Amino acid sequence: MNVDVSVIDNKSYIEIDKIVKNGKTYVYLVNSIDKTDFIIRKLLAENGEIYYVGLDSKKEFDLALMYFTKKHEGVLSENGKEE
Amino acid sequence: MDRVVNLHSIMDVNDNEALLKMVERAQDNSVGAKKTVRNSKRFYVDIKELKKLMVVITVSCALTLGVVGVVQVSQAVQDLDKVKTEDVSEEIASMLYSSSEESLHGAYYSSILGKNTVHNRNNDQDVYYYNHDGIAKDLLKLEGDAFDYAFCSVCTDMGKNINNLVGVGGRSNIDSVIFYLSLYSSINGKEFNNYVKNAFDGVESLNDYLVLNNYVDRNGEPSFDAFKKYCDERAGEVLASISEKNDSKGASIA
Repeated sequence: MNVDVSVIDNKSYIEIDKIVKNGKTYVYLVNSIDKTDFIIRKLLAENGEIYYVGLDSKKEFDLALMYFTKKHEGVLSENGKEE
Repeated sequence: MDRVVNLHSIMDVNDNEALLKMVERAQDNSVGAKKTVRNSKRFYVDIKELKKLMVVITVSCALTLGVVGVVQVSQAVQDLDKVKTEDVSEEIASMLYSSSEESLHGAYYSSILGKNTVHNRNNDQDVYYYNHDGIAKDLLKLEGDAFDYAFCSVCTDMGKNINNLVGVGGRSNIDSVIFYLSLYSSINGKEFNNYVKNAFDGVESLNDYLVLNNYVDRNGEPSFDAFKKYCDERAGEVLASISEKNDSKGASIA
């Protein structure tokens, strides 16, 4: 599957998902080498460029993680055996 | 937690403490990060590998909240989606009017319009009218989302009376409220409110406000429905945020 890979803070991250919620686009990125290193960003379009923007608060992080969990709760119920 | 334990083998991470640290690190690295240009390239990644990565995050969340918690959180997110502007408005009213001097025989007003509707009985005739000045003063106790939602609800609650030309200087009900909002928000005094002052800069009518804030239809005409839709879409998040403030600060919001 073709996915977007970006360099952030000199590390390569794979965009594993995007979720649009209430006008905000959350991007879920996992380090391509260290799978335990993941981050969440928001996408912002400005002056013809697309930017990754940090989340505003820990609460927003929790909320973004909840959106992801909700979308992928099937992964849990199927013991991660999705094909 | 059997499922989580089972997933450890997939993730090459073998203790819960490490996973919790992983979530904490993700939180630290995600919140407040500086803006960077998205300069991405497309690569082929094995889809099975991608699924594993998704599981890593999902399980991390499960460990933080508990597996049962994930289901509850999912339900909570669904519940948030059902929240409407009216629910936010009720929460705001409870913040404004829960102090004893604002309650009516121990019962709280559930809306700003409810508190500021005046009932006169003359010659066996019941006459109701809005106290535009009072509505504006109550709205001016609010800022940010709380103000936007309360203002939207005042408009909604007025219903078909919104455009009745019974206000100050022949203005409609809502335009009279806007008149007082503009007036009080810019005067140095108890009602001074910088947020409202900026939001209503040069605004004389509801239509001006809608256009200024880009609530328009396809033809560029002012659309209250667009304003209401925007509020409804964010109502869950805003209610959670306002409720949190209400819990921590009591009745003071501004």
